[in-house]
Amino acid sequence: MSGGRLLRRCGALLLTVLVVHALAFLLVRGTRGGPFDEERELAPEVRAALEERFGLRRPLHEQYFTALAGLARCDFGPSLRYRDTSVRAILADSLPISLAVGAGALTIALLLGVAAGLGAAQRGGFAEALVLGGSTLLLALPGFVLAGAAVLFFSFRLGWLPPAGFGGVRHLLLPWLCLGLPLAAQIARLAHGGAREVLASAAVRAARARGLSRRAVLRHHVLRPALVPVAAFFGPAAAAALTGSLVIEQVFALPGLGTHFVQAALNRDFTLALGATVVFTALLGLCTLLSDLMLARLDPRAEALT
Amino acid sequence: MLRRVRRALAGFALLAPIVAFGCVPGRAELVVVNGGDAALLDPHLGTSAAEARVAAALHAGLTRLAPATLAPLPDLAEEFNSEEGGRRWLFLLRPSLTWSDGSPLCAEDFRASWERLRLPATGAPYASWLDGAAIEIRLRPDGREEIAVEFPGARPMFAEMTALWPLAPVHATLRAAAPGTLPAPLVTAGPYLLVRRAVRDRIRVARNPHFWRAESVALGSLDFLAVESQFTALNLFLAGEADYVPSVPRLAVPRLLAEHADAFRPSPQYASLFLRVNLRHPLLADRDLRCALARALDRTALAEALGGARQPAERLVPPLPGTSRLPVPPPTAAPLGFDPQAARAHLAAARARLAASGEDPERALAALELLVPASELNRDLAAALREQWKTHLGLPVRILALEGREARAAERAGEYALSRSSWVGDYLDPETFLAPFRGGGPGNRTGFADPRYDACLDAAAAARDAAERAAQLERAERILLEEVAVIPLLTDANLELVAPDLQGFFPNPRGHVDWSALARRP
Repeated sequence: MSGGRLLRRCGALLLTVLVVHALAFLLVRGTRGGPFDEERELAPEVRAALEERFGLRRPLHEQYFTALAGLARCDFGPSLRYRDTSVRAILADSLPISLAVGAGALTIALLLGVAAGLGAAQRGGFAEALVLGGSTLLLALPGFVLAGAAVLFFSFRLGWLPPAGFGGVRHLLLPWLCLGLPLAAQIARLAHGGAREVLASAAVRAARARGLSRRAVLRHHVLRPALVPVAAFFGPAAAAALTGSLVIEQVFALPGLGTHFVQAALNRDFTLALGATVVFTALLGLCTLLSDLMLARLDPRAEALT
Repeated sequence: MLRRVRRALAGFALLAPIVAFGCVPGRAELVVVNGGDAALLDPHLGTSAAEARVAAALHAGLTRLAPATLAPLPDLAEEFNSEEGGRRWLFLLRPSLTWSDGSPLCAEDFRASWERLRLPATGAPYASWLDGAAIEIRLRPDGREEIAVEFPGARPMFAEMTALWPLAPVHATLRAAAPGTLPAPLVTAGPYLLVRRAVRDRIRVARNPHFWRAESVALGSLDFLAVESQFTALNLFLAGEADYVPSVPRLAVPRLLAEHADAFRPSPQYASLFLRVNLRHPLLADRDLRCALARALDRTALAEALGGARQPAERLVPPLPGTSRLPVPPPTAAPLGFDPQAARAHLAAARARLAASGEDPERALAALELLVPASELNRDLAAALREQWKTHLGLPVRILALEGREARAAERAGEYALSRSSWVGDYLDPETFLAPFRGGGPGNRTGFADPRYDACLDAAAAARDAAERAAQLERAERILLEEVAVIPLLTDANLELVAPDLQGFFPNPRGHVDWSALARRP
């Protein structure tokens, strides 16, 4: 991808973040209920003092421009729920956890998915049926069922892994597996489809006719074109894995971004909800950009389309 | 190409453990599943049960609650006594008390902390606890300090209140901090001090060596885990990763009772599940209709439908068998007991009035709606209520399930007919349930305003005799129930799971745990 094109893409990403920020601001502020609406009703003067302190009594447009100025400084202000903690600190704590969970899941997804997809395409027969059937099943299973079954088997039947919590790699293995397996299933199907097409091509038949080994054919003629659909899927897959799955975070009690995103909306924590939305948008945009760069590398024809 | 892919994968694979290992905390001596996260560590600001549990570890009050009976015992105060049925209180402070940083803790810290609690700028939800209180510090001839508190009326539960987190002293650094900031380190006076706080993960506390009875604190460190899902909490307990779980899923109750009787002991909570009735609603302005709805409810069947751990309730104020130290007037029959025949008679009267006003009663009554905050428990409760109204009255009440804050906003705006509500007593006193329903009070939300009711509460507040005060509060509750501004349903239950090897834990109506009294059985 040329430098100019890359700059344009970065500019588009910036614009997207600004638009999403504005829409998110309007949505969270348009929702009924406020951050101080607890079951225990606050005395009117206490509520007024809190609203004054957090600027919630100012006109909406003023609040928006304050939020916009904060965005420019990457400072979203204090959380309205964790009133003594800044949104930036909360995001800084939770982002590495989401990255750890997502990176592990993505690694499992890519290793397992590409290997299973290529293997199935090359071997055919029972192996192919097994991979396609298994991947269909994994894609059909809701996250909480897969996570529940994994906890039941690995934590209670075998007693190998803790059922939840965050405290090291042992605690991350089940979330990696549960988040990575459905992505692996998707990647396996894409890799399988790409490889099948390439394996049936004249170029591969000619390579075989020249006496190249199966391994050499796979490495030099099949792998690269077969990975093109996988690379196209990498962006959304990476975004889904890195930004965390709410279900996986809930089941395994992981303090990642996904939980903050949902809980901030439920708690009417306007500042945290905005901050999490912006981080999600930026991550999604960056992953898509990375995916397009990979795609352009694998298949230069695709660059014109990105 | 393959090399690049491998390198990228290796990078990903390396990143995860590095990040994860960078945050590894070892297991604390006691692991507490804390439900939602304790968002506010300033004791003047917290209201949730999760915040209360952490505050009980970090802060200490003039008194503490006996784990089994909840009777107030001396803590930072060496002794305390009251006069005029609890209108005047005197607390003698222990000598040589210190904060967790070793600096001296004196009576002035209490006075300044309580003044801070009362300031609207602090944003304290419990600011009203000290309404009208005159606080005075006295120096005795032997050099020891006394704190004298005088209320306009009797406050027989004040000794119990001083054991709770809103009345705990806060250090000068926190008092001087700008609103919304928490000084680091957080200096406290409780049995534990704050070691680590990771939002939505855990709060780690360790034994405070400067606590006045630090040698009696057996457990060296506690972890309070933020775990929203009750199923995840149960998994952690069953796998031995947690020692205390405050609440379990309703579905698991029968099996836990059968298989984990040593760890699971449900007990009644000082908390009510009830319906708010919107008296400003055109239909529910008719008392007969309100009575019909209330008397058509079989609370026993309702309790069974919700798993059996909760008790049927016909009063708003839950009973306190064996724990109440307050004078209790003789029980009177609740006016809203289950009586389908009487319910139908009330409904017939309401229908006749609707018809007389030119409305089609069936069409009008079909508009009745029950607002519930969306949750599994509320869904089942609402279904059971609808079924009973359908069976006993033939009324097709609709269910409107809204997300929690949206439901509260609708309730606050008066845009509901009937609304599922709950209230947990702040302390063991009927006032905590009745005060919100004062006419025009911010927690009322029913439109109920009765001068007789407010007069009873005023009389209770001004009473200088605890028995007279209790009688006035009982009268107030009776008026509230007779006017059917609320329909009591159930007394809630503590569904705690506690590791069997923990000693010092006692089920009690407040779900109060004295962390400093817990120890592992040898």
